[in-house]
Amino acid sequence: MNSSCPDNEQLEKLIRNRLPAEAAQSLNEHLDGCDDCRQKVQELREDEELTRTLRDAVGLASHHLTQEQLQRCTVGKYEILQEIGHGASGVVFKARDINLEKIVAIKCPRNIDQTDQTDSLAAFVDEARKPARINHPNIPAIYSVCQNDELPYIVMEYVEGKTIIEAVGHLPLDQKLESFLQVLKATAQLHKMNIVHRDLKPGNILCTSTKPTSKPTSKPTITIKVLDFGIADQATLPLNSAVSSFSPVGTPAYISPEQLTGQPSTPSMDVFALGVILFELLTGQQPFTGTTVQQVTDAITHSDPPLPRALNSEIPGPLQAICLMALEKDTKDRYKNGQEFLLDMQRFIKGEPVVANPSLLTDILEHGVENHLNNLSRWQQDRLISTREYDFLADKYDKLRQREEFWVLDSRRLSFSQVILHLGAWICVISAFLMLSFQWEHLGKAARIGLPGLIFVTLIFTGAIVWQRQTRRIGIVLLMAGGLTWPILLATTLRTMDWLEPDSPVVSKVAGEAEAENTVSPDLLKGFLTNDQLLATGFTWLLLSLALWVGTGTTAYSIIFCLSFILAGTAVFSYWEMTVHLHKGHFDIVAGWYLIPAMLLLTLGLILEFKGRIPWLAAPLYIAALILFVATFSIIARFGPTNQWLGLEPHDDAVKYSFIANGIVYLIAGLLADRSRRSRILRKIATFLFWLVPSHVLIPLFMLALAGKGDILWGDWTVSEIALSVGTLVFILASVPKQMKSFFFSGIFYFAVSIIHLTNAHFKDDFAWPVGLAAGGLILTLLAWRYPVLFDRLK
Amino acid sequence: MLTHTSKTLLDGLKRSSDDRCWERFNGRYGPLVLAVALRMGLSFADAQDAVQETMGAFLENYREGKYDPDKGRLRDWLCGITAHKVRDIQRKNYRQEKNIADQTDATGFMNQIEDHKIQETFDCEAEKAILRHCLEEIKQQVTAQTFESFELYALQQWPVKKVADHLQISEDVVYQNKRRVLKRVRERLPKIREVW
Repeated sequence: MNSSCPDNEQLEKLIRNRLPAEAAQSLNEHLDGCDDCRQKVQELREDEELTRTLRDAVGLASHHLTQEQLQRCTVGKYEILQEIGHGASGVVFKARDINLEKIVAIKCPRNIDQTDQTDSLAAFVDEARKPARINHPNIPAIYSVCQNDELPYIVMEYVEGKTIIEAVGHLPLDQKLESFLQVLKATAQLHKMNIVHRDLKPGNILCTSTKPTSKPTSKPTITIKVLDFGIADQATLPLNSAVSSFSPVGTPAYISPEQLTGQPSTPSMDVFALGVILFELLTGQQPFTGTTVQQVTDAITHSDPPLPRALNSEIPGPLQAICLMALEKDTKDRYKNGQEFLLDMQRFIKGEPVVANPSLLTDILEHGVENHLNNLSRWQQDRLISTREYDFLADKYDKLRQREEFWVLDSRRLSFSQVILHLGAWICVISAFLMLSFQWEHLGKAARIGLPGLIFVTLIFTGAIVWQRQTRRIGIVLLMAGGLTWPILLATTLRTMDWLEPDSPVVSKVAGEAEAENTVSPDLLKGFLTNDQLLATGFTWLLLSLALWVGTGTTAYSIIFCLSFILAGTAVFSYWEMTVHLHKGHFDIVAGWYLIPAMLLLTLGLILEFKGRIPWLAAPLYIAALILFVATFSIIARFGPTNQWLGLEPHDDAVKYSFIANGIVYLIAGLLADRSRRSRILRKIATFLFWLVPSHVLIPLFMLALAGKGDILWGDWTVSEIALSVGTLVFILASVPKQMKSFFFSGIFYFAVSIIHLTNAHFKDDFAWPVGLAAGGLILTLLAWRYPVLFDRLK
Repeated sequence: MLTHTSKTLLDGLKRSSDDRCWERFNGRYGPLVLAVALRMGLSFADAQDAVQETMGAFLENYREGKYDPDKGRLRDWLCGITAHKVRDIQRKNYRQEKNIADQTDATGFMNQIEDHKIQETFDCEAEKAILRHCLEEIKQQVTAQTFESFELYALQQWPVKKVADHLQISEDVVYQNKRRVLKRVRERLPKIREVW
């Protein structure tokens, strides 16, 4: 060692990272050439390591410091009285201002030496200064940010009270909401100042109650204080420690899915934590539970919360929707910040419609039921109805409300895995149809009827059992597949047994009077079914799908209702030879058969929804009206005066492209209308427009494919055929981000159309095609069922 | 010396009249059980109950001669009793919360806490207790000023100048005191670990 060697102090500072960067660099350069100093630093590092271990050991004991030990401590002008809490980022003490004789809380940083001290201290001071500018009744005042012997500490208002759950968890709903509103106001204020709390949990939300002195008999006022904001550390999640892996639920229950994956802090993380707290306030239990931290975090990441109303039936539907929206896993579906959450909660408290309502149907149902229950209650009080009658009716309404819960669940959860699950089952059904229609003609009558019969009974029976056992996600799919098999079974049976055959086959009769390319009847039915058989199939299917829809209360069945409606409609049009009238340009007949009924159905739906006694019946009427409108607009677009002015023939390709252009216009208009989330009318219009889009894009593509338009792109497949298949899949997948059932339903309907067309065009005698389809559909279904994560990652 | 003391301690536990031995044993292992119970998620009141029940059960079984040193360390045996008692309390709380009458449900719930995790926690807490015990012992062996200097500089991380001013010693002495105490810690730790 020579005279230029650093002294002990410098070496100690070096190993504790307390030297400025330049000095540290110079010292490290010296160490490279000085064995003595290097040896000394090595020893000091070992000492420091041991000291750190000792500090940790003593640190645990410091939570149990005796009163006597604590009372010896003073920080600046504050006398420490007792430790009142500790977390990963700091320790909080109750202290007394010696000069003012005032009780305060003091927060000091912890473990600051373990990282770069200068940065940590600066961050601590900086984080503390931001909230110090806030003056809000629900946020404790920060008196000063001080520094004592290089260590900073924050002096703030001392708050004594119970946690929000302990204090208001047992109170009536209005008082719970009143307290929660204060939490929202405080959080909204923080977010307005770009501060993210990052550690919202009941332990950080304290209630203090004060009784007004002027009126001794009045109720105490509850004041909420949100503590510990802006200074929470990401490191509050000790996921990797040996202890945490079996620690019962603590802070992790309030951590958002994106926070678990270490994404940067955003206000929506606080929104999620608030959602958990609201859920706990409303139901008395946490939405994501487990016996270990790992289980809880898994639940947060992958599981849906239970419906709050299933745990507490007194929770109003819109409030449930607010709570569920705050708990959405995807930040895009959640309130963006505390302000949005606060505004929606205030809307609910004022009795206005809330933004969080997952679907209009829910809103309609809920409002209707609420009004009727209020009326019933009044009638019972006025003795207009007996208690027994009231109970009977209230019970009926409760059942309706329960259905609404499935609607909520169902309509909110159109995920990629769910969509693929349906698509897989749908492909199985299509392939079964193809096998029966094209390949198995040589089979005996019993086999031709028995096979679809067996599939139908198995699907319905298994679906009903699975539904009963509460695995409804799977039950829905099986019952739907069963419902879709019905027309195949009935049509095959009627045709095989030669029942209902007074007419000649439907299309051949039409085609006899009109040019084949100008008919709207599908070529696939040519020579397959008579009008009477088609009518019977369409209408029995319509009844079955309506029964499934109403019986299960699940909107998913509206898809088969729509399909059955289309089939029944086609049967009626064919029966009355409408296609011939269309071809001849009899628009008065088109108006009579399409437009007028559509207007009537829409009007009836609106009356039922807003004035009638059974508003939920409006939904099927809307769908029926919509189909008729689509048909009218499509027909007018194809045969109407615009094209005549433009000099286009109905079967010109330009007409088909104008359809697609129309579809794009509807899509843009729909998206614009959908942006206005507060107007129900605009949202309803957006929904209608979204229903028009897929048919306007996919029908022309189908027509182009049917006419064999476009170059050969692959094998003997044309561009239009591939565009049709890809287009249907695009619509199916595009339904997920904005939860557009119109895209999903239309997409899978036209997907079937494209598969049937491909079969006709390329695989008519190829038995491997439907078998391959069935295998593919089955694999997709199983994958989506067992490994939903595979598909949900697409997001 | 420690081994001898520990042997005396263990022998003393067998005599119901030897309250002093029991107090010393309780003083050594009670905080350890308390820390483990808290780390396993019990409230402070429940954790104190767990300490009472664990120590009571330990003493009863020990006096009945159920502890066999050939089968493992005393600490491991105590760990087993602690785990059992903590689970009992958690099961009771769970049943009260969920209002579950069916015992199998609650058992299923608690069995998910793996034994080896409890053992890891117990060992981790025991190591901390050993370190604290070691410091307490050294505190008795060095001068009050030497230990206070070490405590303020190394443990509480006061700046060296402040410690020197506070104790009216030179800064070099502060560094020497730290090294002196740490040297003793290194010497004593292995021996203390042997008997814990």
